Formats: sequence, C-alpha cells, structure tokens
Amino acid sequence: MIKIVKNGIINENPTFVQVIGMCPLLAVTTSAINGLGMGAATTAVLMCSNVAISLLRRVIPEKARIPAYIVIIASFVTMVDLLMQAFAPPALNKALGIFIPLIVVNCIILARAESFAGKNRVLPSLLDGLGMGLGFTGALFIIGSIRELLGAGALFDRAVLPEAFPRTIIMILPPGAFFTLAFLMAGFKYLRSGGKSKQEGGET
Amino acid sequence: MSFTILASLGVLGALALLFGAGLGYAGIKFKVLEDERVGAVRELLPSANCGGCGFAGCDGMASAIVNDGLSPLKCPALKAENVQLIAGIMGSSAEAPERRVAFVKCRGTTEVCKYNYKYEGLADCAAAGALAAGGAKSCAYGCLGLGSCAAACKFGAITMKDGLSVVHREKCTACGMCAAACPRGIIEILPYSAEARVFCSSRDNGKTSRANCSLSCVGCKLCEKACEYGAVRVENFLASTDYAKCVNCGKCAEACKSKVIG
Amino acid sequence: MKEILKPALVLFIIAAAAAVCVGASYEVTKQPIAAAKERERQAALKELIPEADGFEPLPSFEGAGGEIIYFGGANSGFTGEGAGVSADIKPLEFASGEIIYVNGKMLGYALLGGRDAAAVLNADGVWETRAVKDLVSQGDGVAYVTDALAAVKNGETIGFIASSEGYGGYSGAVGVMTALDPEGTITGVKVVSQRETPGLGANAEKPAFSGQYKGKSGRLSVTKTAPSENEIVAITSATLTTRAVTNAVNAALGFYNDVIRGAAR
Repeated sequence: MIKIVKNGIINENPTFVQVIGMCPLLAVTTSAINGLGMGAATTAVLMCSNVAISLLRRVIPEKARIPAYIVIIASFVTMVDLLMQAFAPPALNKALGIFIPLIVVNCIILARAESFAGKNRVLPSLLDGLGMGLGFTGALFIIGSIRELLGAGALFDRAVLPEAFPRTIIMILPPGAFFTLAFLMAGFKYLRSGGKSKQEGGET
Repeated sequence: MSFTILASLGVLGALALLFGAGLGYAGIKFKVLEDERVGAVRELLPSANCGGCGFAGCDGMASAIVNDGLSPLKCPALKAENVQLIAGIMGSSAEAPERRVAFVKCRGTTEVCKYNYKYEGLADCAAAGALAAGGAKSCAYGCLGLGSCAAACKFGAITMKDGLSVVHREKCTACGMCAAACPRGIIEILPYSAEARVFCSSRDNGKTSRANCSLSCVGCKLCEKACEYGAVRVENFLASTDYAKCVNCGKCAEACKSKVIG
Repeated sequence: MKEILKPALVLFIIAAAAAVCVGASYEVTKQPIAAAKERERQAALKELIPEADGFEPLPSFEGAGGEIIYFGGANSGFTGEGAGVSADIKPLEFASGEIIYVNGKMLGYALLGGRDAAAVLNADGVWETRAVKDLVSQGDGVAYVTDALAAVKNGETIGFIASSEGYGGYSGAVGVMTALDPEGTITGVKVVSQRETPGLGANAEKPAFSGQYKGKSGRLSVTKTAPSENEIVAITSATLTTRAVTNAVNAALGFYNDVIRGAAR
C-alpha cells in the first residue's frame, strides 16, 4: 500500500518522470508559497476525484467515460476554488489566479483517473492520488523555492540572501522555470539510476 | 433549496441528459463492427509490443491473426500454451514450435580482448563501430559491448557484463530484435537445446585472431574432422554448425583445443 | 434504446450530484467570500488613509443648475441596485451611477446593465441615451468612477477615496483607488485589480510606480521620458497599463473637481 504512495513520489513522479502537468508548474512556481499552495489544491482535487471515480468505475458506461470524469473533476475543482476564495489569504489567491480553475485540465488528474482510478479499488486510488499529489507538490515546492531564492533572494517572502548577493531576475521569468526544471530533472534521473548501467550477471 | 442549487441542477442535468443521449446514439450510429475474436486473441498475446512478428505492436498482430489468418506461431514471444489457446479460438490446431533463444557468437570480455583505443561516447554499437578502425576492439568481428542489443530487448533478457552481452536464456523469447540491432550481426537465434555452438565470429587467420583475443577460433578444423554427421564446417578460419544435421553428440566440443565450440 | 438511456441516465445522476455539491459549496462560501472581499477593501482603504477612523459614503451632490450630478448617500447605486434614485431626475431611472470620464472630463453615467451605453446631457439640457463608443474616439482616455467615500476622523472629513476603473490597458479595465486630501491633491494611489502582464504591467501595483501620483492635482498624462509637473513616467514596456491607471486617476481628479468641489452642496 505504501508502495503506491511511494510510486507517485519517486518512480512515476508526475513532473520529473512522467513530465505531465507542466503548464501550471512553469507558470506558478515563482515563489515557494505559490508552489506549495498550488500543489496542495491539486492534491486535494486529485484525491477526491480518484476516490469518486473509483467508486463509480463499474457504473459509468464506456461511452460516457470522459464526460463523466470531467464533470466529477470540474466539480471538485470548483469547490476547491470557492473554498480558497473564502478562506485562503488573498495574496495567495491573487498569485494562483486562473490556475486554480485550470486544475480541471491538469494532465495529471485525468491521467490518473483514466489509468488508475478507473480500474482499481477505492483505497489504492486514494493512495495513488496522494502519492502523485505529493510528488507534484514536492516538485512545485522545490522549483518555486529555487526560483524565489535566486530570483528575489527570498523564501516565503522573507529576504534570505544578503543584499549584496545579485538577484537573477530571469529566474522569476519563464526561462528560469525551464532552466530549473531541466537541471532538477537531470539530477533526479541521475540519482535514480545511481550511475548503474546494464551490468548484471547471466549465462552465456 | 436555494435558487443557485436548483439552477445548477437544471442546467447541468439538462446538459448531461442531452450529451449522454447523444453519446449513446453516436455509439449506435457509428459503431465499428469488429470481430470479437480480435479482443480474445489480443488478450493472449504477450503485450510487449516487441515487433518480432513484424507488426508495430500486438494490436496489429491480433488483427492479422483473426482477420488475415496469420499463424500465431509467427509471434516468437508467445508461450506454448497461448499458441494452443489462440489456435483454439481460431478453430485450428497448431503445434507448439520448438523453443529458441538468442545466442551471442562471442566471448570477448574486456579481460581477454585487445583494444585499439579506449572509447568514451554514445553507448551504441553502431555508432562506435563507425569510428576509426571499425571500433575500439582489435577484433573487427567481435562484440563491441556497448549494449545496443540490450537496449533493443523488450524482455530484459540481455545484459552487458565486462564489455560482452550476456543472454538470460530463461527470459529470452527469441523475438529476434537483438539480432536485428547488432551491427556486427553476431547474434543468432538457435534452438534452446542446441549444443554445438561456436563462441566466436572472427574470420581472421589463427595468428591474427589469437593476437586480438585469447579465446578466438583459429580455424584449425579439428572440430570439422571430428564431426561424423558433417554438421560442422570451417570456412574463412571460422567454424559454423548446421543445426539441421547436428545431433548434439558433443564430439566437436571434445576435439576443440581452444574450447570455442560447445 | 438501453444504449442511449444508460449513458444519459448515468451522466444525469453524476451531473445532478455535482450540481448539488457545487451549489451547496457556493451557498456555504458566499458569506465568507463576501467577508473576505470586504476585508480586502477595508484594508486597501486603510492603507491609503491610515489616520481615518472610518469611511462613509458621500452625500448626493447637485450641479450648478440644481441637477443631481452625484447620487450618493445610503443608496448610492454603483452596482445598479436601488440606485439612490430620486424619481424626478430622469437618468436615475436607468443609470447605474457609475460616472464616465473621458480624458478627465465627465461625460455621463453608465446605464444599468452595462457600460456600453451612457446617459448624457445633450446641448438642450435633456438627458438621452447614447452608445459609449459613439462618444469616445480612438485614443481617448476612458475611465469609470464606481465608488466614492469620505475618510472621517473625529467627525471631520480628512480626505476622500474615489474608486475608478481605467480603460486602455493591455487586457481589460484596471481598478484603482485614489486618495485625495480635502483640497484635491492626491495623497495615494492603489491599483486594486488588474489583469495585466505579470512582470510588466502587473508591476503597476508596486509602490515604486504608484508613488509617482502623490502630490499631483492637475490632469495627468503619460510620458516615456523625464516627467514634468503633471506627467507620469510609464513603466518600461507597459505603457498601456500606465495609461489605464492614469485614466482612472484622472477620472478621480475630475470627480473631485466636478462633484466634491465644484458642485453646490
């Protein structure tokens, strides 16, 4: 069971391995808190929609599969959006802006709905949503932190780097997102492969 | 119930009914008539999409088996029992073919081989082989050890050890992708039980090939003389076996001083 | 038949359940969202004039000819709801109360239901309805004054805050709150809503930009070079946004001149 969660964080990390859900990733990670907020919202929707779809998997007819999934996902996103508008700090809402409603078309949610929740029981689906969500949130948070640190010299809106340290503004702009993502992806792949090549024993 | 809830219910409900009915109708109107056997056969194929059958994937093969009458034996990766099951679906009978596996005709590890130079670069045998001197290995015929075959194998049956490719006979399904990937063409697909296999591909004369690799075949013809069935022949300083004639008696292996055949 | 009914029914049930859940969430969060918006608004007001005890809507103001030119008081109809309307003033029947300013001059009132049409006073002194786009030329600075409050401290008015929305930005209207002292000099400007380009026009929210407006009182224009008395330096690569904000501020200044100072009380 824990394996399912771990799978979403490491082996099939949506950002670094599957490379899906890129749109909000690049746009929203201008600061650590933005990344975290977006990740949390996406994770909430992911878990709820996975559970709902898993519960209904035997009921939804094949032809109506996609509309049914989208309705379910969109409803959860709307609820999360309303809740955020009501209770989340205004600065966060402003920063995340239109990307909250865009969670509906976030690749990750529909991908997990189709490939996992539609074919598995409720508890595994919930855990899969949690794992993928955590993997995504982790990626968002790390990238957001790096961009905020290098681009604005701050973390969580508190100045961290000394004044003398130069601020690389490009990190806050879109190219910075691509750079950070590229390096992290390479690093992630390297750590996972552990420098191994196909060197196992066998018979001739 | 507030107006908002009622209105949402009305709008969404109406849309859902409309689209649901529309989809249902489209399903009937645009239905593709497919032989249901295709689905059943598809389930029995290995789903590795290895391409050994010549089709892009197992979907293509399933369609070919059912619609074009292709023999399931053409899928080299098919388990014997599945061959029977597919034959059963199609209403014919098929004999399980003899099991085959891939065989690498080289034993040139980094320890026994001489190298022209050290190669650092793309882990692709075809690319490395196009470089100076035909590749880093002094022996122009041997395994380059960079793993193009291992990369081509969809079943994880080939790995690289000490600069030589090694076949896991139990995992190998004899689909033939490794043989196709090898730029030197030294991988052969042989019957599982074949025993008179030559572990070398070098067509250099004895002196040259020995200088390049201590385990090479020198073309001394001791094996050819020992074989009573005419299955082993030596040509261009290299022994080769005709498996149609070979009875696995083992005499060639006994006779070989270099232990290159066996 | 079943093939058509099943998808329709299943989708209907799912959609119905979704509709109920979303509708319910909306009802539940309606109050907190309104409260959050009001908190934000109050915070913005307080930021502009920190010394104030509170903010009150302005009373109605009459023009030189006795006509009501500003519908204030408890029923100020800036959203078109129950527009502080007095029956004998014609435009009040259909005007929303949002005052249209073009190039800093009052044009008329936006109608209820939209900003496409306006109630304007024609040459004969009669109110008539005209399409806004007929009255505005390309390049005119258009803005709508949507709300006005008096900042009060110890029972005395210590300043005014006019909310206006300036057009001509990169995308959509830019919402601005302008704080004025009793003499009509700008004491602060705050951009409260915008959909401009992040990193460029969006920087209009930063104090480094909005601070430029402080101390000015005449009609402002935008420049890209060194500014003179009544000029605002545009944000690099965000001239349009700067224009929109300036249009809004000009409207606020115009409002002060026309209504608060210029009108007979």
